[in-house]
Amino acid sequence: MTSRVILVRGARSAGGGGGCCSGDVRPFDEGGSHRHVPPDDAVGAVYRALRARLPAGVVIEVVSPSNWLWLVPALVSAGRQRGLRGAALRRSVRAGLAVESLIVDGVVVASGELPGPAAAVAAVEAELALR
Amino acid sequence: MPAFVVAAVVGVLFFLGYRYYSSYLARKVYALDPAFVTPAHEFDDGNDFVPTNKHVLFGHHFTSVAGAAPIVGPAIAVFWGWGPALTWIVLGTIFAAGVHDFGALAVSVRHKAKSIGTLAGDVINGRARMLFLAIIFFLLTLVNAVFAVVIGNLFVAQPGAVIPIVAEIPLAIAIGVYIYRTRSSALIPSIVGVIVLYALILVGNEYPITLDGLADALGVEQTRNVWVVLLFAYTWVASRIPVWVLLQPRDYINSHQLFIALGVIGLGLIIGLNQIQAPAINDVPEGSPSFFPFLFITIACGAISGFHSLVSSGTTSKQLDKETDARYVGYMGAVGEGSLATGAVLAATAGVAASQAEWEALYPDFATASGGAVGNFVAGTAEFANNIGIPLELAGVFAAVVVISFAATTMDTGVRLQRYVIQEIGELIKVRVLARNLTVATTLAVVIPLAMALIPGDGEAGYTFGVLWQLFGTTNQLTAGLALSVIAVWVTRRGRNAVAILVPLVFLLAMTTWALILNLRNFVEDEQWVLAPLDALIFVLALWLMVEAAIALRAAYRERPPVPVDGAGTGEPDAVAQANSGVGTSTAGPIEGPAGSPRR
Repeated sequence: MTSRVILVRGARSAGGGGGCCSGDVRPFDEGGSHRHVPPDDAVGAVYRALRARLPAGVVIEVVSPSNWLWLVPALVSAGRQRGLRGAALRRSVRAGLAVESLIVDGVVVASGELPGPAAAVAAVEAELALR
Repeated sequence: MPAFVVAAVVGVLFFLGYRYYSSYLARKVYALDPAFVTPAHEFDDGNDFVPTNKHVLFGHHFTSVAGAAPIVGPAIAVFWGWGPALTWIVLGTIFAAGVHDFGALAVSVRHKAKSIGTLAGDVINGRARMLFLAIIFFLLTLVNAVFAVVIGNLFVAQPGAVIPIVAEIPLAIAIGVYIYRTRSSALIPSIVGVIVLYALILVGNEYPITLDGLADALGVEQTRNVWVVLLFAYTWVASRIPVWVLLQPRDYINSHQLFIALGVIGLGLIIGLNQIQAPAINDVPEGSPSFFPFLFITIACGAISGFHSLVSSGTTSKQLDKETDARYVGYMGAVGEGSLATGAVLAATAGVAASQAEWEALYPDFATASGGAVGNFVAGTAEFANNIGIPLELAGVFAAVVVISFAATTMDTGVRLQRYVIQEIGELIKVRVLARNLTVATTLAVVIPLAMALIPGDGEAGYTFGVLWQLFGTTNQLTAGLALSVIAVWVTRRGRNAVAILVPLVFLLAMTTWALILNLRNFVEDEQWVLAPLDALIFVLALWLMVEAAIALRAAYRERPPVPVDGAGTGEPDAVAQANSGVGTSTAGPIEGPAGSPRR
């Protein structure tokens, strides 16, 4: 079975808008003081570290915390596969929906704040080793 | 005819368009290759560039393109009857918007996920970048002007919506701060936010707020204009605060509202079995604008919207996992917006009136149709909500709250984007105060659309809104024209058949210039000395675009390779560059992304 690691973006990440004619756009690739500079956020750093260390067969998804339509079913189905039911499943889903969460095959390794890249890699590798 | 039957037929046509036409585009026109290394893999940084599951990416793309704009245009355009409006939405979505949104994504992915403005400079020439800036400047100016008028009109028509909408601001800030401090899930707080917002509808309905007294005291003829001034004062502040404080939490609330509204319209249609009361083709009064060409600029978003090229090439192209996902994400994004526009047509033709006579009273002439369009959509959606058991009065406030929430977020983001454009223009023309001073740039971004919303039309509500909406549609179609020109040049340079792109391009440019000429004549005759120069300026931009597109397409046609170029990801390194070796570096296209290396 392919393993899946999910990283939930932080609340400060760019995104959102009012839809057509104001959605999530950056009209320019370069420019002056207004140009978009990607924030060196924790999610990016952890993602790069995981990508460098994990085998190609491990899927890594970076998802916006507002993308409940995808996140909730993914967390529920992974939780149920691990045998979680009722309150335990609810707690797991809530933890996974928090900003800056790290989820390995439905197991919430970090919630609300990501560890440093090295610690995150170690935690994910340890979790994957249990499979 | 029952509205749900029309909805079902449109759904089938959209399915066929996706199944067959987008497949043709993917294979023959854009030559997508599953082995092509997308920028998301090439520059994979976990920030902007991240290979993303196509369903996840579709969610991002769809919520970035679906909002209030595809509601307003169709609600006006049913003035010509539901037949022309729906025909343009269906044909436009399948043969224009799908081609455009999908194409912008495909071309951007082949050019290191560059934005359409940069691509215009790279693929056409340096002047095209300046043209892009000018068109976007007018587009954003008009977006902000028309949505201020939309909100102002709704506040006047539905004073019960004022309390919930005003309360949504501190509510969103509280949610933003809560999430930031506790670093917890936004799902529960934002659902609570929606519940509080809808509970406040009861309060708002009990205590409607009007500014008639203030307008009288200030000597302002239309109360709507007082709201417009207040709204721009608010956006001046809102567009300068960090996105996580207000914009992002409000977007969480809006994302729930989008699905709630779509669910209410769909469910209400099926349960209520509402009949379409508008005529298929309306016998419009003499002197009304004809649907050729005005229908095609009245419905921009919902049939084809140039703004989608900014989304496709700005953020979506940086996250595309496989090149072949562009078909699903890009084309389906257009279909999603077309579906929302179809819902707006049905609300304004089936939900809003119980008989044809009632409907005709709402759409007696174009000015009334324009001024009342959003109100008619709100009333139609309220009727659908009433079908599922929500009291009609509350349902009206609910529908108004949904539209205003979207429109207000559009203004926040629109003013923010306009500030960037003004700064960019400041750098190009070397005016340091524009480029560096945020206060000056923001003030300009607010004052220009404020003037557009207040000055023209001698305060006649329907007239002002109708012409501003048409000018907005025109600039949106010109943005689409520029993006289609870039796509057509790119496809032609690869020796492929560009007819699928050239047909919507020529059609759009013909309709927009025709409408601009007719409007210019009317503005001069009516001595509209704000609108006439604005129309003339946009007309100059349209001509400029046609000249640039013609020059670039002619050069591309001359230099096209004898054999059509396949996608690059054949396993051989840089097959496209090899196939184009005789084309020359000045035109063909810029180097495409690497091919051959395995995707992770």
